Amino acid sequence: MPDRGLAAFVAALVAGLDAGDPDAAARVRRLAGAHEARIGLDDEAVDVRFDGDGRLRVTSAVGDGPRCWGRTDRGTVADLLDARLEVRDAVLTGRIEVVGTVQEVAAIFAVVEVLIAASVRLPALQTLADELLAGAPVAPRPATRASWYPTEIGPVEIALLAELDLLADELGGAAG
Amino acid sequence: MRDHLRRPPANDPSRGAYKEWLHVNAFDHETGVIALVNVSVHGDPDAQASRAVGAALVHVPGVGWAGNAEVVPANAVGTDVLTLATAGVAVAVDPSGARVAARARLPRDQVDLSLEGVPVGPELSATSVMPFGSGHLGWAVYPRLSVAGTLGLPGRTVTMDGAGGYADHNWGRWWWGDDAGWDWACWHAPDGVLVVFSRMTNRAHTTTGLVLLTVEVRGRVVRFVDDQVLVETSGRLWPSRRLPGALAALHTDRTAERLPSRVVVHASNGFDALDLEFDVRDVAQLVMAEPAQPGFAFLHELVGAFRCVGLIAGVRVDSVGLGVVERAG
Repeated sequence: MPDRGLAAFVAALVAGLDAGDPDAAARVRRLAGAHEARIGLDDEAVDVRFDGDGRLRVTSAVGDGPRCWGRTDRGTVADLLDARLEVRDAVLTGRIEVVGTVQEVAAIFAVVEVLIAASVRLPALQTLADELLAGAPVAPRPATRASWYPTEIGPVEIALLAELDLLADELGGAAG
Repeated sequence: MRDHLRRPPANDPSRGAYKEWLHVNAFDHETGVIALVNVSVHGDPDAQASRAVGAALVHVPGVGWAGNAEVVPANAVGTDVLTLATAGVAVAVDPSGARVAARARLPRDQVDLSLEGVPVGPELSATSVMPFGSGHLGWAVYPRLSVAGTLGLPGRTVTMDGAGGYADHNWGRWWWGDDAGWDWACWHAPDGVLVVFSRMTNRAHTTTGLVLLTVEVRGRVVRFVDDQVLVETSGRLWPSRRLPGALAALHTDRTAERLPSRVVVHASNGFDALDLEFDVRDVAQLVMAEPAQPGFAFLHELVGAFRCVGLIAGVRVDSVGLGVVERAG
């Protein structure tokens, strides 16, 4: 958890984006639309949405909350930023959880993409990333990647996926 | 080997597109360990958004990659006549040409690396500057090095003494994301053979510009250019390590980047000839972000072992060694 608290951290993130890259900030608002989502980091959670005027509303999570939510922990964020963990493996191992409709989940990941892409050119966002990393636990790199397939699949399916060039690399293909 | 950094002057209108780096490779033929150390600056050195990247990657056969890439503000990078240093990674070249030093201290990755190389080969080429993307790319190649030092890695320490070494310096003006790329390679054999390959390409690597293959065999240097050099690739490999983490997360679509598992080079100029076969052991991907405008490029470092046979300046060559192929675009 950032020292300033998750609500203040999210507010600083959006403020930094508004100040440094208004186009990216507008994209975030378009992606979020009128949706509300619950964001959890470590043991803190907040509900976030943009109101009709585009102002960010962040409130402490209470009760059941929105049906769309995502959560992770600072160790996972640190592992991602330190290149010890791929997003794919974080999702497959449950270190990142996102729940919602397909559109909601896609929108959450798209918002994260816009924030990371903008942070390349925004020192204010880079400072926030450093803040998040400071003091985060460091875990050794996992020896193996998470399995793409939760259960065994048959040779016919493997052959078909390979033919379509959709086979994950763990089975000798390129997808995944 | 006399050289210097090309930091942009204050009145340079193209300083926003400035790029520069110092690069060192070390090849320990005894253990098969290959180290890559690079410190680079991207963008106007005084602009708030510009970044410097210190990368130290070590590949251990049978284990994989150790190390990381550290991204810091460009105005925090330490510089000297021919030195670039982030907080954790530094490359320094003695401007007189007497030695090259690389240092990396990345405690979060349990990497503590200290290498020093001294030139043991002849001068390889004059400094060259070539068109690249929207601007230009300069390149200075330093003589073959003998490298000594220690690599503190997770769970092991590797001591190098008389390992092979390569170092170079690049600079220029372009934007990452331009329709431009390159293939570059350095192969080193312990019997005094160094092969350096470069060709400029477009971003998709479907067109080729200047091609240069420089072969040094125990002090004798032969160059092959353009259609004197044929490169063939086959097989498929994917990056097992992607850096820096934030940019890797942004570009999950490049996780399954297809790269060759084998590279074959044939070179002949009518007098000299070389055939080289390189088997790739592993691949790392470095994502380069343009700080001044939207744009990214992907640098792939392919490490492995090679064998080459041929006749260079009247000397028969039949050598095995270690190498790095870099594919950028």
